[in-house]
Amino acid sequence: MKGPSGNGPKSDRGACSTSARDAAYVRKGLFLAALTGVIFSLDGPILKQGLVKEPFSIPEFWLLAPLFAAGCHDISAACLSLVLNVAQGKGREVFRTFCSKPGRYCVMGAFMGAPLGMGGYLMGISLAGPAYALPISTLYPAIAAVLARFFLKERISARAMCGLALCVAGAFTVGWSAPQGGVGGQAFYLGLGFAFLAAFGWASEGVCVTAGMDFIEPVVALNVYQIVSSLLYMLVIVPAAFVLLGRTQPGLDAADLLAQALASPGLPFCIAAGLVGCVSYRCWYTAMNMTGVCRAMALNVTYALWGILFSALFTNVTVTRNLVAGAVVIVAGIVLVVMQGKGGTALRQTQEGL
Amino acid sequence: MRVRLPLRLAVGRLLLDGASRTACDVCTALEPEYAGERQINAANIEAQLQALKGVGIVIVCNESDQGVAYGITPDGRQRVLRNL
Repeated sequence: MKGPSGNGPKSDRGACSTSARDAAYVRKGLFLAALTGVIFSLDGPILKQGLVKEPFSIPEFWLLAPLFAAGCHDISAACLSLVLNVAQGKGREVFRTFCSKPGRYCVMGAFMGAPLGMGGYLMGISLAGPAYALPISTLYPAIAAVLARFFLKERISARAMCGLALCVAGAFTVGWSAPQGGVGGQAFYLGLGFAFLAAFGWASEGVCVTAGMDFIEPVVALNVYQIVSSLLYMLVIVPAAFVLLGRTQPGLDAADLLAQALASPGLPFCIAAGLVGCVSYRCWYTAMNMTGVCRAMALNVTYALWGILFSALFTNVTVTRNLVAGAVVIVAGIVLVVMQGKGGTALRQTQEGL
Repeated sequence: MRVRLPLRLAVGRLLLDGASRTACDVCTALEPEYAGERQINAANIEAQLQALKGVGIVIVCNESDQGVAYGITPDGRQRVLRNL
């Protein structure tokens, strides 16, 4: 251990090895961010397999079914995360994080991500239709970049910003489909508002947890997020959806419906999606901590591309012009995001860095 | 019962005295408080220090055969104090 007087300037050899280590650190973060896009693209299709099974597929349960499935997804993800953390000797860290100040950011992130993000997304799809809601919800990395710039003072180079814009534009193009029927009306515009709310919810979730991860390990922060999110679904969101359903359909037996849902052949798919989602989120949170919100989210949003590519490879989905154009734009964006400029290893603007 | 700080925050708190430390130094200093925990090892502490460096809380002060020594930045000091 050296006293402050012992802090001499780094030698050239030391500086070189430090910068090489820093570059390797960021490269690992970028790899994890890219990997999260690939893994997360499998999450949605698995969850969808569960949602086409009864009772989730009954039209009257349009709101309750996805919320219930999302709740099961988060609970299984939280359980797997806890098992992995305990196995790695970090079980006590989860409890400590709940009692710490930076842990509050993770809790706040869960409040933003679960009700605003997922809730807004489902309401947006329901009221405005997927043709509008899906592309709008892919705007979350752009919103996150703005929030990260102001709240985290994250360094975002012009090149990374261009790359992010291209990734978002590509994901928008891939997700876009020609709307069916007329548009307009109060409910439609309300749906657009909810889709924007979802994008804001997911963006602010990323920024909140990244703020917390300055002092908390990403896998522990994720576990805290998942536990809070699971509790929100179990105690607030799903019961509220049950109450809403009971009001719109008088005479409905909530207990019987719950028993049907728990015995549904779709439930194992929701749980499996949660396990896949857990792995993907572990990579994503670690990537956000290592490379910053902007770059990690730009690479994460490529799940839109991977999802359709996998569907084209393994199912009968056809490759459209939108998909090809979107893919080209996303790849161009990735190249810009991944290319490292000067100062690519320092994530924040601090007094020392200015 | 006093709840301990999350490890990464505890590393930041340790560096508040202004001295620069290697991962081994940090490991030795925190071992009594986190006795018996598998996360207290030099490789994991080095990873925590690298992560703290990425977000501007610590900087590399010295690099020698003993390892890389990290010290807290003025901005990092404020951020650690805000989170204690």
